[in-house]
Amino acid sequence: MTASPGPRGATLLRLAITGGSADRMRILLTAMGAAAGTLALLAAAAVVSIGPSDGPYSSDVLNERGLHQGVVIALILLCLPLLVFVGQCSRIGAPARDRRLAAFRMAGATPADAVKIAATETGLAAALGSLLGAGMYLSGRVLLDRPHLDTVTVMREARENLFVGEPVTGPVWNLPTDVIAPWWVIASVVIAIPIAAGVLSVVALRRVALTPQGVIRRQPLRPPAVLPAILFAAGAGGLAAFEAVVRTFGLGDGSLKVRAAIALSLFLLCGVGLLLGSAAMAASIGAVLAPRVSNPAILIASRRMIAAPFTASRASAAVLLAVLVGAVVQGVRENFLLITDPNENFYADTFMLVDAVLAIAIALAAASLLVTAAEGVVERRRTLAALAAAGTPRGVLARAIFAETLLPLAPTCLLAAVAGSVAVRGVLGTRVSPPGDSRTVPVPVPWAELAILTGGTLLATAVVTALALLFLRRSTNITELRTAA
Amino acid sequence: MTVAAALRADSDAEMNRSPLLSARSVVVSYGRTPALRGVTMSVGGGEIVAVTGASGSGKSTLLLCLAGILRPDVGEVRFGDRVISAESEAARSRLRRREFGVLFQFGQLVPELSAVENVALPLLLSGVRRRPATTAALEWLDRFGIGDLADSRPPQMSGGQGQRVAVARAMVTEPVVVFADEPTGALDTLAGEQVLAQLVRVTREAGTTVILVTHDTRVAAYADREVVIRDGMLDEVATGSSDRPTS
Repeated sequence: MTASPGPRGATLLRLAITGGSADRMRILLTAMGAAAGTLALLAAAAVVSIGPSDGPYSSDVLNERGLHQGVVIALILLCLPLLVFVGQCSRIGAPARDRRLAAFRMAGATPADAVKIAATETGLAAALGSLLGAGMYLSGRVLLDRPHLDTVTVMREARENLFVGEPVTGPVWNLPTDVIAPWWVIASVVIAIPIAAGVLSVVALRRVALTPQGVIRRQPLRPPAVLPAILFAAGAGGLAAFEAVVRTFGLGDGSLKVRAAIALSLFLLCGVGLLLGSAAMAASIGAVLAPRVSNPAILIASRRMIAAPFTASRASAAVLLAVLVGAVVQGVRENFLLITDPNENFYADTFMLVDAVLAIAIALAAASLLVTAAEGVVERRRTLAALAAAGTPRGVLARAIFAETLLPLAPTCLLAAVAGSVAVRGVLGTRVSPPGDSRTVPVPVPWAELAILTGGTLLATAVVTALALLFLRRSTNITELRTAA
Repeated sequence: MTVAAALRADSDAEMNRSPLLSARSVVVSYGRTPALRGVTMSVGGGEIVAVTGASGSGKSTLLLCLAGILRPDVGEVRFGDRVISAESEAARSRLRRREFGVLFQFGQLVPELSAVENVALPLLLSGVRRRPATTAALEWLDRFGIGDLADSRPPQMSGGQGQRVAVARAMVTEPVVVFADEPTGALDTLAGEQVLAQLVRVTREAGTTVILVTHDTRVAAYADREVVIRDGMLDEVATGSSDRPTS
């Protein structure tokens, strides 16, 4: 009998798909995330493929070639909250999977074999999702290809840098279903997504020691606070004093592209600082509350925030990103309302698209939070069941879970909204000249929109956390007292 | 009067009656599997009763019924004059919080809370303010000789230390009855005996009734009386063991 240096592919596959209901749920949600990601990337590829002779479309953002880049960026950016969602899904049933991996190690698998098994599971789920997404795209393209007769205004370049609107009557498409990306682009997306998912799962396991006795996750004892604060202050400060930064570094004569690159870099610094700092913020809020409160729900929540700040920050990352970008969008809209013709469909269509992308991003972020909150309840089911058995009202446990989600999120959401607003006002200015008017007028702060954005996001978060509480009754069942984990 | 005693001053009169806790013709099934098949028993005030039996015999189910955690399919459970098996989930929860202490084999402490916060939790749940709740919790930790672990969290403690914190939490409300389901099952012999000796000492001092579920004859020897469950039925009732360890 000859032995190979490691487990064969078929063995890896068999071991990867061995698991219980939580594992199947993780595979299903990972596949759904991969399907949505594939759909977004293929849609972006379709927009890139739109040529001068294609269309016209009912939306100006598809007719105007200059805006295609923005649409593609928006669709690719949509993959960020999707990535967070898939990352959160990977936590589902983690204790059971950890025990399974430890059992494999006990049976003789090397740490590398265990990593391969985990990566195979994720890659396989992503491959299924990727194929499903491609199938949905191709079938959707046929099913939705229903042009209708209409007259639309299409911008044509009359001469260099001069565009004129030209009415076109004929078949009009709602979506670019009349074009298709080259086959090799579709194939690349379908292949790249499972490979990327597998690689990401290997990266995610880099701080994890897979031992026969169990799985040990190495996390820093304290979340980083100084570096995120510096990044955030540098980014937000730089954006607030954008003109001064441009002048100081001698970039005053820089082109629009240079200014945009500087603004984007500062914005990224601000965003990364906010995301990295949210764990430290959760821990700090917990540390302030825990020694002082008498309310048992807040006490449990604040101690959880200290003990597991990364849980809170991981869950809120996508929400914070959505609020930060949302605040920027509201500021830009306020600016554009003053400097453009409000009746111009072109901008209305653009902002409608941006709003739709934002809404989808917030929904995805909320779904990530739901997964985190539900998994948190299921993971702690024995402790929760013991507390309930000792007479702790379920209402107290429910309020503790609510507080654990909302206490760190509320101030960071507010900070994200303020940072986004400051960024726009710093870059685009606080006064503008309306068309046909030499005077400048102040750009109002979109308080109402910002309040709706922040309040709406927190409300959506509260709703999804309430959904996670559906698991609480089951998790506090007395049968949980008889199980070991 | 201590904080915990003040909490239940209104119901103390009920506690002096005998039997304190009783089950009559209790039947419980998990799906089609019968767990208890008509158990009748009673426990007097201040008594320490061991419920023993083989794995799967129904002893833990009996404890859950007596503690009001599980409602029997048939039969009734009484605590003093109250038919607790007929009460709502909320009323039984309040009863457990105020009159009962519950102790399991493991996993009952909130891992994120410090030892003193874990012990203070039942008092905070009853509306006691932070400072007096913490003071009472520290006193109980001191009584168990683990006052120096007040700020430690359960993952930082040994199994024996954690279980002593759990006993302190079960006792902090000065309950009338303590229900303990294999309280030393996850500990080594020495740590188990230390925890048990302390549990018996403090409950005897306080006149607390203890229902102790165990499969270990050495643990059962600490009880005044042993009740044996076999296949969901009361098999025999043995009176106090002559070689009971002194506590």
